[in-house]
Amino acid sequence: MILETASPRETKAWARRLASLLKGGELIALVGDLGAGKTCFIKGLGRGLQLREEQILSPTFTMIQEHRGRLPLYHIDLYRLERVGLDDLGLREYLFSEGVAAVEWYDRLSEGEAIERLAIQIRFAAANRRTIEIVGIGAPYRAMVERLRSRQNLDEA
Amino acid sequence: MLILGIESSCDDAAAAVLETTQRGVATVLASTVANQDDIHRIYGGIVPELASRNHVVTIQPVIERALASAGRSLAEIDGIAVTRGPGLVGSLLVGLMYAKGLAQATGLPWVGVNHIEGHLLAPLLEHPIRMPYLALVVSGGHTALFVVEDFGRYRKLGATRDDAAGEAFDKVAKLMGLGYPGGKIIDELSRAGNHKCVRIPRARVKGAPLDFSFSGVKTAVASLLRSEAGAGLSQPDLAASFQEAVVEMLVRPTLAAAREHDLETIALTGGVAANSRLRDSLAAAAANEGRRLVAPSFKYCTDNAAMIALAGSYRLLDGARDPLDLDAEANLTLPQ
Repeated sequence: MILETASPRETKAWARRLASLLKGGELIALVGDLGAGKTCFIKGLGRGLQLREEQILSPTFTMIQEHRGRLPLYHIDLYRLERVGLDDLGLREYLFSEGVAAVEWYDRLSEGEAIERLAIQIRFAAANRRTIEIVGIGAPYRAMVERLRSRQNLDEA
Repeated sequence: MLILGIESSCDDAAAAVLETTQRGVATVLASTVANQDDIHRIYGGIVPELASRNHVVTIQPVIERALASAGRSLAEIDGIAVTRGPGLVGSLLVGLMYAKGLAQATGLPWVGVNHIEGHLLAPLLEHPIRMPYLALVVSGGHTALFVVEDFGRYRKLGATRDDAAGEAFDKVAKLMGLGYPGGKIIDELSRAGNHKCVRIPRARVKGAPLDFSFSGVKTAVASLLRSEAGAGLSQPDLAASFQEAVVEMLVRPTLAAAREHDLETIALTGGVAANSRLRDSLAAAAANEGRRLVAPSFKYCTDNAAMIALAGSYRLLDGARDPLDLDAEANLTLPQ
């Protein structure tokens, strides 16, 4: 599905809706240029998991930040890595856990394509506008996109 | 008391020898750093695996160099202070394990130090400052305001809600195709630019005037570079305009904190404290209100082990020693 948002607030609102569908064990893979709004999206996701938005900082420096909300949230940022494997940094543990793994710069993960996930690509449209493409890769994630889409239709109706 | 300081929280491995007689009275006999910028420049940022592997190679030579340059031997050292967090866990472990091994082999007391505490006390390495004072810590991983009330007593007043200021410098440099480390390049480029050329919107955190937010300026530059207006801008002008925005967004909350808590001295510390425009603006704004800005020399702004030795010194002077099972903590916070 493709969403158009007109502000960071709208982007976060969609992430909150997504968070309400999470049960634990999900992988959210984010891709998009610097400043596209990946961390912004995860702030919304955190809100939806009953975390405070200001707890969610850019993890560029520490690479992995763990939060305890309604579900554990592992906020991971691969920005500083050209190429990273699943067995580097203990990534495997976070990506296949009981919690929610939200990974920024997911395209830096070399084995990333083969893994079932919710793939989110954020693109610049105009000044504050963003196009967010959400694709479910694997049956559970396709079902999640369907549920999210029904929320979109409800909102538009 | 002669203290060996060891720091390896990020991409620099550092060692220092500090002589101290009482709390806060200290002389740096030597401070050495093995810098990895050349390695990480290729990647446009720090690669944790490379950083820790390189620390393994450099940690011992760096310590030996510090001892040699201080003209002291290991046998003369009375205590060891080492960073145990926050930072990259693989990097932290190298220094910490080395210190523990040394402590066990020599029987010397050792203490684990919070890296941020090192930055907060770094200004004392060169200037006597009466406490309490206000400290603005700005680096690639941190942007925060603290009141330094006493040794071991720090109160956080505000911090960034998203990116660190140094991270904004690095990422904007990357957006502009300028290379790494971004802070230094933008600082130099800005000198030839006009900061009034384009207005980058300043962000304020609603309801939290002592907090910071730098994600918006990064996005503003990204949007600008995509626009027609951006295409016509010279690199020095854009660099200067961006830098001015970040500097203003650091200066305003800092002065507000100094007023609110009635603090006469402001200490500027952390890697971004090396930025010349930030130093000049903050010094001018402070002087304007009858306050004083203290900023350590460049070598004590960036990661170094002298500040770690100092931050461990007051506990070592009191006879403290940490247990050998004390671990590294990537997200270590300062006790409030």
